[in-house]
Parts: sequence; C-alpha cells; structure tokens
Amino acid sequence: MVLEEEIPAFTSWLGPAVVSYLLIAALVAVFAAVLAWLALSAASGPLAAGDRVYRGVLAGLADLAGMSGRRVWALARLAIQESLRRNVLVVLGLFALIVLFAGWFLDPQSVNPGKLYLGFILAATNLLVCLVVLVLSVFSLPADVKAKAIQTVTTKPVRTSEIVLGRILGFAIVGTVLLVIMGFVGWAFVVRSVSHTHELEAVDLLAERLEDGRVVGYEGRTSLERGHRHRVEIDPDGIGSTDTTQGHRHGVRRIAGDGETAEYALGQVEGLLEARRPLRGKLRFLDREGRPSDKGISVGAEWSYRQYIEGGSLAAAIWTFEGILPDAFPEGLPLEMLVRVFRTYKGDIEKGIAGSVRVRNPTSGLQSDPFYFTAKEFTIDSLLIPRTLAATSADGGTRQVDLFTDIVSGGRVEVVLQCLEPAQYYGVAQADFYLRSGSGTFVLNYAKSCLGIWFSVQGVHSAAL
Amino acid sequence: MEKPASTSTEAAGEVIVEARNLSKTYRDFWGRSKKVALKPLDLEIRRGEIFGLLGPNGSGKTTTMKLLLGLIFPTSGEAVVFGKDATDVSKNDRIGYLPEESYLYKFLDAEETLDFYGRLFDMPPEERKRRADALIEMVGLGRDKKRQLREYSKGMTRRIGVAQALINDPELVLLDEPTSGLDPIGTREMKDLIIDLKKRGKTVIMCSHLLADVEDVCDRIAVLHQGELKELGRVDELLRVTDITQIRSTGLPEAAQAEIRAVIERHGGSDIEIGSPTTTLEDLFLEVVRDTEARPGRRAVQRQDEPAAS
Repeated sequence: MVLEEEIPAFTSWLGPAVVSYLLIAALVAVFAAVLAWLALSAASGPLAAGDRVYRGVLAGLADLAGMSGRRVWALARLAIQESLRRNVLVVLGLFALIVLFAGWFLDPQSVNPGKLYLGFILAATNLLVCLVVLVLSVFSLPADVKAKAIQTVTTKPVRTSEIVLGRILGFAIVGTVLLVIMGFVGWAFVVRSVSHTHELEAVDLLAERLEDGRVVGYEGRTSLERGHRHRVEIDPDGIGSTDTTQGHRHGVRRIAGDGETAEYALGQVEGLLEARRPLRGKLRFLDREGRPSDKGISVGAEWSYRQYIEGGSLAAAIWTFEGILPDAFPEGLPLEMLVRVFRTYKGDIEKGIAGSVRVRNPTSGLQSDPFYFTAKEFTIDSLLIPRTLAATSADGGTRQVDLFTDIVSGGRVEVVLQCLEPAQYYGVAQADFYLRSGSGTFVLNYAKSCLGIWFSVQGVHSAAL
Repeated sequence: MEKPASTSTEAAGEVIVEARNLSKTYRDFWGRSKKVALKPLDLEIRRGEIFGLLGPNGSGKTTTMKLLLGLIFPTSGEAVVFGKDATDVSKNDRIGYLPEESYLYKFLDAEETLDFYGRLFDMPPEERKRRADALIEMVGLGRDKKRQLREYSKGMTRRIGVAQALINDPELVLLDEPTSGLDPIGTREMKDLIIDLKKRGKTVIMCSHLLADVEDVCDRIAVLHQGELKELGRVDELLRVTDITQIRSTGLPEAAQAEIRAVIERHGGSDIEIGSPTTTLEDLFLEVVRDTEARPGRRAVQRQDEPAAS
C-alpha cells in the first residue's frame, strides 16, 4: 500500500476541515457577490448594482431560512421516481453481466488474487455508480428546463435551493441504493471467487522422525488447485497449516485414521481477505559508509516515494517502532514488509535479491542475528520475529536473548533492513514495513471502501447538478 | 354555460394584481436588444374577476403572464401580486398556474402528479389525498388516474394540468391558453370551470387568442398587440355597438314584423334586419353531441326542409 503521508486520526482532521470548508465557502460567496456587483455596475451603475446585490444576498438568506423539508423530500422523491422510470436499475443488470463474465478474464493464478478481484469489483462499482448518477444529474435539470416542466414547479412556493437540494438528495439516495446492492453482490463475488480448498492425502506426506523413530511431524504438499499448491506441516496430533502462497494459507487437521490411513481436511482460505491493522514506525537511512542520512539513494525514478539502499554495503533502512508491549505481541513481532528491487545487472532473474532483517535495541545497540530472506517485490512478505532470539556478541559468541527484555527498550525497537547483494538495490518507503498489531474484519474494511466510493459518487453528482 | 353577472362589488374589489410601467425586452448574449416583448404596461386586476389577456400570437400575452408569475424578470417597472413583488416566492402559496402546454412530468401518473404538487405546498398527506381525489374526479380522469401522463391525449394532459393548478385551492388562477388543444366539449367544460371558479370567489387571469372563449367568460379584457396595450375594459362595454338598436322576440307573426319595420322606417331607422337569429357553431355542435348520446343511431338535428319523424 502506498502511503505518501500518514493518515491522520479522524478526530484530528474533522474540526479543522469543517472550519476550512466554512472559510472557503464564505470566501467564494464574497467573491461571487463582488463579481456580481462589478458586472451589474457596468450595466446600471455602482449604487443600483450595490442595491441589487444586497437584495440578492437577502433573498438568498431568506431562501435558506424558508426551506421546507417536505418540499425538499418531494423533489427528492421526484428525482427517485424519474430515475426509476428511466430504468436506472438496468445498470444492475449490466453489473451482474460484468460480474458473470469477470471470472473468464481475471486470473486466479495471479500473485494476489484477492487484491485482483477486490480491485476489479470496486473499480467496476465505482465506475458504474458514478456514471449513472453523472448521467442522471447532468440531464435531469436541463431536461426539465427544456421540457418547461420546471415552470410548473417554480410557480409553486418552491425555493431554488430546494430544487437543487431535492435533486441532490434524490440522486444521492439512488446512488446509495445502487451502491449498496452492488456492494453486496461484489462482496459475494469476491468471497466466492477466492474461496477454495485443497486435498491432502496421507501418501503425500512424509513423516519426520527422531533418531529413536518417534514421529515429530509430517511434511508434504497439497493438491493443485487454481494453479498453486501449498507446503504443509502437520504436528503428530494432526493439526497443522500450509505455507503462504498467493497471499493465503489454509489450516489443516486430521479428521480420521492415523499414519498412512489418515484423512486430512484443509480449511478455507486464510489471510487473503483480511484487514491488516498496522503499527507503523519512523524510517531513517544509513548510507553506504554506515553514516546517518536523511534519504536513501535515488535510482532515477521520478517518483521519490521510495528511497533505495545499496546492497553489499553498510547502507541500511532503519524503522523505529514505538509502543511495543509484551501483552500486545505475546508470540513475537509479526513483521510485514514490502521490498522493491532495483537491479543494476540482470543476474538470475528468477531468483530474488537476498537481504536481511535484524531487530536492534535503540538504546544499547544490542541487535539480533539477521533473518535472511529474498525480496518478493510486489507482494507483502511476512516474518515473525520470535520472543527468543540469537545474538552474536563482539567476541563472536552467540547467546540467546529475549525480545522484550533485551531488545525492546522503553517500548521502542529498531528494525534494520539491508540488501546483501552488491550492486543491487532495495527500495523502501516508510509505510512498507509495519508490525501487524492485529486484524480487523474484512467486511468492515470492504464497507469502508464502499464508503469511499459513496463519497466520490456524492461529489460527482453534486458537481454535475 | 351561463356567464355570471358582474357585480358592483367586484369593480370596487381589492386590487390583487398590479402592473406598473411593466416592460420586457429580450436581449441576446451581448446584452443587445433582441425583441421588445412588452412595452410599458399599467394594469390592475381586482379580486373575483375573470380577466382576459387577448391578442394574436407574439403580442406579449404569455410574457405578461410570466412576469406576473415571477418566472422572468422585468426590464423595467414592477409586477405586484397580493401586495408582494412578483418574484417573491411566498406569493405562490395563493396562486395556481396552468401553462400553455401543461408542462408536467410525463413519467408520473395523475395521482402521483397531484401528490407531488401537493407536497410542494407543504400539504399534509390526508389533505393531499382528499384534494387529489376530488380534482381527479372533477376533471374526469378517474378511470385513467393510474396511467403515466406520457400515455395521455392532449385533452387529458390539459385536464390534469388544470387539476395541478387547483391543488392548493388558489385565490388567483392564471391560465395560459386554457382551451388550447381541447375539443368543443372540453372547451365548454373548461369555460364552465372558469366561470365556476369565479362563482367560488377566485380571481382568474387567462390569456387566449381565441376570441369566442374570451368573450364567453371574461369580465374585463386587455387587448395586446405587438407588445402594447391597445384596449382595456369590460367585455360587455367594449362589445356594445351604441348606434344599433336590437329588438328580440319570440312568436312574432309576419304582419307584426312588417308593422315594426314600418315604425322603424317612420322614425328614420335604416339597414333594418328582421329574421331568425343564428346560433353559434359551438352551441350547434354541443347540441348534436348531447342528442347523439341521448338517442344513439338517430340523426340529431333535423333540417327544416325534412319532414318530421313520426
């Protein structure tokens, strides 16, 4: 996820935003009044113009004061009836067709099918709802004016503001209903599309035994479904899980039998449609000599969102996380990371660029031994930093340290990223590394996405009207 | 149709519509004068009268009506309705307006149309329903009230247009070409309705280029031509031909008619006409229709040279 600026808390921006809105609205009103006065002055002189502008402003205020909810609702109902009689619901049929045929074109073997399906359905919903309310809004009032139906309305005790507000409200309701229906259909489509499981036979598993022959677990691979398999690890009690492939994993449990006659069942997709709740840190850099630096290296990309660190050098990207408490992370630190790569030579293109991650005490400088990984570039990789870590001391000896006792200091911890391959570069932004402090519900996050679309729909049709 | 007699109280009634030096010039995009639609007009319309704006197409009738409704702004002068400027929205509470072409929402049916306009008057639901039902019955659309207006004939559209104009039981009704597009029966019903409105104390302003309609229902008329007021006054006074004397009688024998002619000639009268008066074509048509409905299959009006049926 690209996050160029930290998202402020709702409570911190709403108040100033309302003040800004009112200020801008007042400025626009003053500007419009001055413009009207200038235009009228040219025609009828400054005094008469001032009088007309003054009366206009008074009439506008009276307009606002005399607004009736019943009349606004009557006009809103009219807009809804107009939309329905113009067969606006046809768009739902179109949406259904899109959903039906989307399965043909969306690749379930993609790196992250959840993201693909979700992105597609939200984009289609956004486009269709915006388009419908745009067409309705743009043609509604001009059609009334052209057909002169507006004359029978304006000769009733109806304010201009009520006509506009009624239309806005009516089309807002139409857009909302369409959005809710499409949202539900889209949600069902995404969930059904990514939903799958695999089969696992006992013969596909290899028992892991100790020297005395005791079985300590099983390893194997699942059946091929939707173009992928998972590696499976199962404990002797028959409980296990798969690895993460295509952004998801499955739980595994033995449902009957034992040993070679055991039958296993894999659960539904986990981790694909989840709302990650990130704990973000502050990013700083070390240059190739290991000196602190405000920025990483520019590799010439116009967009300077990501900064790069050179591989095979002392260059590092360091995130400082705060508020790390043992109660919140009893299993260790679930680090999630997105690392981009800039290659100065092609090398083995099938092979990822190797790097390392260490955790470090920001006060004492004590750091863990590195965790090695290869950059997956376009998918979010996860790494669990365990409670007990190996740390190599200056004399070369290795000792076990506790994450919260030795590494975390005052709730703060540093995560140090380095690229290990010379002449290759890692590109990172502050939001690319975060600690996963829990999971929200997918439905709530999906609803938030729909709310975002709703706001854009309201913006579109209000502007169009 | 019986035209009610004008009363003296009407002439002395409260002025509810007033045009003072009211004029309108339509301009092009650059503000240049394009057409003078109405030259300065002074007019007073009193409560309870039926006032006609008469004139050929393009004479400024509809422009005057739009100025009185506040639909357009005057170039100069002012229009005052119920003591308020015509552009004041609050005056519309007491006004009903039937536009020339019944500009209504075609996707609504009759009930929805009246319900919608009722809501615009902030009417409570029960009253809306009661008035809508009564008006639909009054204009004879009871059987078609569930049909969308797009399916209506021109006459039906006109009738629902009248109903919407009366939804708020207005004190002042403005009718733009009220009989336009109506058949003779519809025209007669419309004129009856206008007269009925007057009987109920309403003030009616109508504009038309159909002289017979105006003559039949209006108390006073203003004749406009090329945007200018040419004549203003009571219809009966304007139409009175003062240098001709008319005598009407029934059952007068030929000999008596000759005697009357002789008396008139003795007193210096000239261009004497004595004979049976003709009815209007409208009256004849209505008689045919009523007779046909009463006795289907029979020729309604008997020619004088045909023998009477036994």
